[in-house]
Amino acid sequence: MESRRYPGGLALHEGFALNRRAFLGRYAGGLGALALASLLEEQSRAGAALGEAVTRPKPRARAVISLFQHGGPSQVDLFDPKRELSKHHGKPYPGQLEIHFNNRAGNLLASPFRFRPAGQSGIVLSELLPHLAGIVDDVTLIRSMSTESVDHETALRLIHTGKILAGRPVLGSWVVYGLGTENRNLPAYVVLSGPGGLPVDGTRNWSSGWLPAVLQGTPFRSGAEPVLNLHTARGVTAEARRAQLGFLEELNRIHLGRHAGNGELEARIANFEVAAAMQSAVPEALDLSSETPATRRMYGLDDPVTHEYAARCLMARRLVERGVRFVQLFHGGQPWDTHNENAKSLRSLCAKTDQPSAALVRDLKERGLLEETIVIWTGEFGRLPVSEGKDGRDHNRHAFSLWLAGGGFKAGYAHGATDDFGYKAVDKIVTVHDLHATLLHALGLDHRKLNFPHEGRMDSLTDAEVTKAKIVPDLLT
Amino acid sequence: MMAKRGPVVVRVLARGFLAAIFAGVCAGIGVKAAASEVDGDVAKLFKLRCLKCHGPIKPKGKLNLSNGRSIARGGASGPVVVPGDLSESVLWERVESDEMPPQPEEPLSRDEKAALRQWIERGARGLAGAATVLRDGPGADHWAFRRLEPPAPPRVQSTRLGRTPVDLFVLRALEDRGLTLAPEADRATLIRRMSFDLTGLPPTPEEVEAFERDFAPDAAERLIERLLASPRYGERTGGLWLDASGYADSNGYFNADTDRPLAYRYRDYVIRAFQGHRPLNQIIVEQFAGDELTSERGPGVSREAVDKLVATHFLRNAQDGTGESDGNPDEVRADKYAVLEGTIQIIGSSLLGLTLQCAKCHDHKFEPVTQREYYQLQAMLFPALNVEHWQKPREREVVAGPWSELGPWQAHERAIDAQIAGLRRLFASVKGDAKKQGEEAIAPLIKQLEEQRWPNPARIAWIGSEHAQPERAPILLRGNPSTPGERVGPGVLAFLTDADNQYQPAQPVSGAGTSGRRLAFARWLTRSRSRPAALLARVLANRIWQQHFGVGLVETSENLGYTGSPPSHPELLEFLAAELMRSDWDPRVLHRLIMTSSVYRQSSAAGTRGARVDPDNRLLWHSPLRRLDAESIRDAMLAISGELDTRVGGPFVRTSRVGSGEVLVEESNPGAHRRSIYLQHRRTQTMSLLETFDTPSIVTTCTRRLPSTIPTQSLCLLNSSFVVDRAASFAERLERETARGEPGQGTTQSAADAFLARAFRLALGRAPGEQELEASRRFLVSQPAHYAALGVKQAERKARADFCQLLLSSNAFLYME
Repeated sequence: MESRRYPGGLALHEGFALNRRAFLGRYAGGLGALALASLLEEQSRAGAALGEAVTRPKPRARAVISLFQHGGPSQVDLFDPKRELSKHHGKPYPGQLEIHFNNRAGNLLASPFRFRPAGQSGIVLSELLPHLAGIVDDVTLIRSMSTESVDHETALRLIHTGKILAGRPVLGSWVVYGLGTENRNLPAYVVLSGPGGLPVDGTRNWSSGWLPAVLQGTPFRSGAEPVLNLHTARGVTAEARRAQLGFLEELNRIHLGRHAGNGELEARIANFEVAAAMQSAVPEALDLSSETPATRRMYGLDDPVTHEYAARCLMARRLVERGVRFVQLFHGGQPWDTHNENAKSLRSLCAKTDQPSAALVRDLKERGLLEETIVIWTGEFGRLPVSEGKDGRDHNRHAFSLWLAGGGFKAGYAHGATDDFGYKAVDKIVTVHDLHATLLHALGLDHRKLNFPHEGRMDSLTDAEVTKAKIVPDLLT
Repeated sequence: MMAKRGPVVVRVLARGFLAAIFAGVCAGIGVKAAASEVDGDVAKLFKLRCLKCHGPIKPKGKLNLSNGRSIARGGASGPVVVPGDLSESVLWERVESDEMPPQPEEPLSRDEKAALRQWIERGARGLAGAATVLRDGPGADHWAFRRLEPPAPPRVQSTRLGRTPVDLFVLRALEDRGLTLAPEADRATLIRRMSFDLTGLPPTPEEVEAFERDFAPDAAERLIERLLASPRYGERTGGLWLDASGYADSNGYFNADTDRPLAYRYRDYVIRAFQGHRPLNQIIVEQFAGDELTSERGPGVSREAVDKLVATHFLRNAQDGTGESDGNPDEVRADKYAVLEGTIQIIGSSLLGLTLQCAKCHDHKFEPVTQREYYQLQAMLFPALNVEHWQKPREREVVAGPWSELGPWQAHERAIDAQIAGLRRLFASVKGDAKKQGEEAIAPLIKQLEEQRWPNPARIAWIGSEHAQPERAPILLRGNPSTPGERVGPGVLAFLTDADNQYQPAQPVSGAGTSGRRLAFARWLTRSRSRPAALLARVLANRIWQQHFGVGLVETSENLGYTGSPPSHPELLEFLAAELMRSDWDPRVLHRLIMTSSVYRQSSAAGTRGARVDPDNRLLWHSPLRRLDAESIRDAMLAISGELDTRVGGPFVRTSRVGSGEVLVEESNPGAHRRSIYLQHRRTQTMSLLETFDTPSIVTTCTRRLPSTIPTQSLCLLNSSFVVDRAASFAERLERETARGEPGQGTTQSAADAFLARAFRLALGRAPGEQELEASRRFLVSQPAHYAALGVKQAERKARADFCQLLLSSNAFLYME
């Protein structure tokens, strides 16, 4: 294990109060050394009178790993057991259902999976998630999530950007905007793409929207060579490369003089520094050969079923370990969209992802990183308790489940509840906006203050005035 | 029978959606709404407090408060606002008594009520007149669905800046905010901008110098004409059209992603059509129904007929996996429908600015498109894309070409046939073992001869022949091919259809053997002064604007519907759309209007006042700094290094995936240096360099690019073999072109300066600035030391190549000022 967890060594300068405009002027000089977080925390302490209690004086989390599950994982088969559903299997749902595809509303469909209490906390989970069950005492499970749209694209935009409109910045960009980076040798926001091409809604899933361009996610490819062009052409010595970069920056700074303050140009200048550093940093960061046999086993790295997701979960840990602020795993397409063969698809998806996801949490904990890293596992919405066609489930925006671990979220805690059939969140409902507010808070960022001028006003991830986003203190220790 | 949807449920859903949308846009910068639109506090109030229920989609009580027309129309029981008369205005009555908004919503505040009251008392500005409301019906309430009634260009203060009407619209919006245009850019900047916009390539140093020295008042106009006439214009603008039309050289859908070896014929048709300045409405009609406009088929047809047949490939650009389907009947059926679905999505995004595909499973939730109409569109395509009589991709290929092309090929074929026949005859009369031995002996010879055959130059891919049965296409319940429901005949979108522009059966040219359905659709879509044509003109004018400013007047250029972004300059878009139609759909008219304007010609340097008022530059107070798109980056590098291969048309240049996973064109490929438009557009294998700079992998269609700024682009510029190779050739070219006298030891200052001057002229279209020159001189002097091991001469050469590579990696190259 490394003695210094953040080889970049760019700690946040305490008390270095920087106002937003100064920040805007500076971010391109590298994302390091930005103390916006402390500023915001100060502000929110001062602004406690505004209404929201600040429950935690000091943020614990400094990094996020988002295991994003495209398509809408079925909560009643994975996280939210419903006795009534099993009892009334095959009968019509006793009430009005909002069906996405109107024409095939079926009857109640019991989950074919057994649920069991797990861990000390006794949180009940599906048999499909034995590995999650093994770490459930480190997890906050939210069963009362609710969202606004049953269309994939719009629901994705909501959970990534806070609204269903296209073109807004995603959570990862906001987090990097707020906290900067801790390692200039790697992108601050890395997207680990899955096999099978782009996810639904494509590159918008990691777009910085109208935030500065430097804040967008940098996608790494799936497969053997996640980043192309890492090798300097033959014959170019290290000194020659340094001189090249120096000259290029000189040219670009002269050019920037004519376009002072242009964020995209600044980002491009900064990116050359990052790129050059990535040439050695990326192979080192993504080299899994130094992992111990025990770690490899824990993730399932050598099992053909789990290998692909395990490799990316491990890479995520290694990236966060090296100071990357936000790492996000995507699937190609939207595998959790189980309109047909719900049970069969879930079985195969869980077989691929359950072990690596749980291993990531366990591994972070063993390394003392879980305290400061938030792991979040979620899709964009849930699924219905009734059948669609023979054996599928349709979209549901009224309830879905997600889990979080680390970074100050409660350990071994299940939050909220849905109705008897798992159709609608009814107790302690958490909106996507609330989730965003709480995540930012856990990172020491005040969602009402983390904003940016857009179209004539200050806009933010939560836009709380409109969305009524609020922190959910119950979720945090 | 078509299933009914739960009305309550849908309304609730739409409400949540619209609330979110309007919450998002109400604070937008935009330009003041047109005079015929409700604006200011009242519009905002409606958006925030009323549209949840009284929005454009399934409004409660049929009352839609989203725009001046729908408000004037009123609800189920008639008008709700009587301008100037508070006591007759039902809306006011309900609001004043706090009946609306209903519990549990908060009633309107005192200020909100005051604003509403004042608006009605002062004549309810922005309400449409009764005649307009009566004429068009609710289908025309949304701005993009209206008839074109282009406004007169507004009056402005800075009249001297008003070169074209474009300026007046933009200036007016700027002046309303206390802003104005930036000063005019210099000539070198302008010609670079214009060249990339119209040809996708940089100007040569000679072209720049000529333009800089041209002091005639119409210098810019003449330059624009020259660019519009350049063969590179067709490639550039045709390329943008192809992206929007979903063109690809592979079938997609399955991992196999098999080739479409003849799709290039459609690509070449589009390029040729743009090069020949064919009117856009004609291109569209040909794309839908070229085969209905000519009865010529087979070998010996005219070139014009070939064009018309090839144009219909537009309708089969969508992914098509039916050539590979494994035989499971459900899957085969679904694969056929996937082609229809993709085609309709392409039509929607590229021509109608509508997300039609959402109506596949259910009535569209946010646009006035029903599921029934969606399947009526399928029925329009059904005879050709006939699920009951399917033609696989390779079956939609025929020989159709003029004799001038076929003649030489046939002669060649006949010669080979004759030789083969001659060989076979040798053993025709022999029997038994001798025959067998003889045949074995000639087999390799025959094989050799077969390999000498040429591909048939007249082979084309097109929509395929029609099959008249079944006449009607089924509505698929939930969009599922295995649950067909009621059958419907061909039709169009009711909300865009007026009495004077019905979908009428069209008579195809005699002998075409087609149903005329697609022709009827194309006529409905393009009929002069109709509302569909108005929408089409807006979509196309918006994309032409996007070509010149990076962002359309409507940012979501694929979606002008209710869920699309609002236009930044609504009146300007109306004006441009009307000009496009008035010019008989000649895009050059818009290019000229835009490119000769002061707005287009302003400098990209940003001032501080504008940055405060409009940081996103939506009002265009300076020229937007635009990054070159991926194809322009690659093509410009080749042009600058002197390696660009300008051959036009023909089969695609194959890309390959090498060991590292990188997709590239091998340098040994004879087409390696051709323009990017001619490289293989394989859906699952986009060339890495292009992909890194945001070329999309075409799934259905792409009407605009989202440019990213990521470190992997820097890595590509620093380390990819393509860039390194171009830099080396660029340096050699410079050496060749600037070498003077005998090469001595070291490089003299003047030789270095000549090298640098030419390098900047070629790469950036201008001379180096003082600082740039200084920095470059220093680099050329100091860099060879890092390559000392190579010897002086090689080290200097390597340093020059480095310099060239960095120039091609610099922001000054990557961006259009």
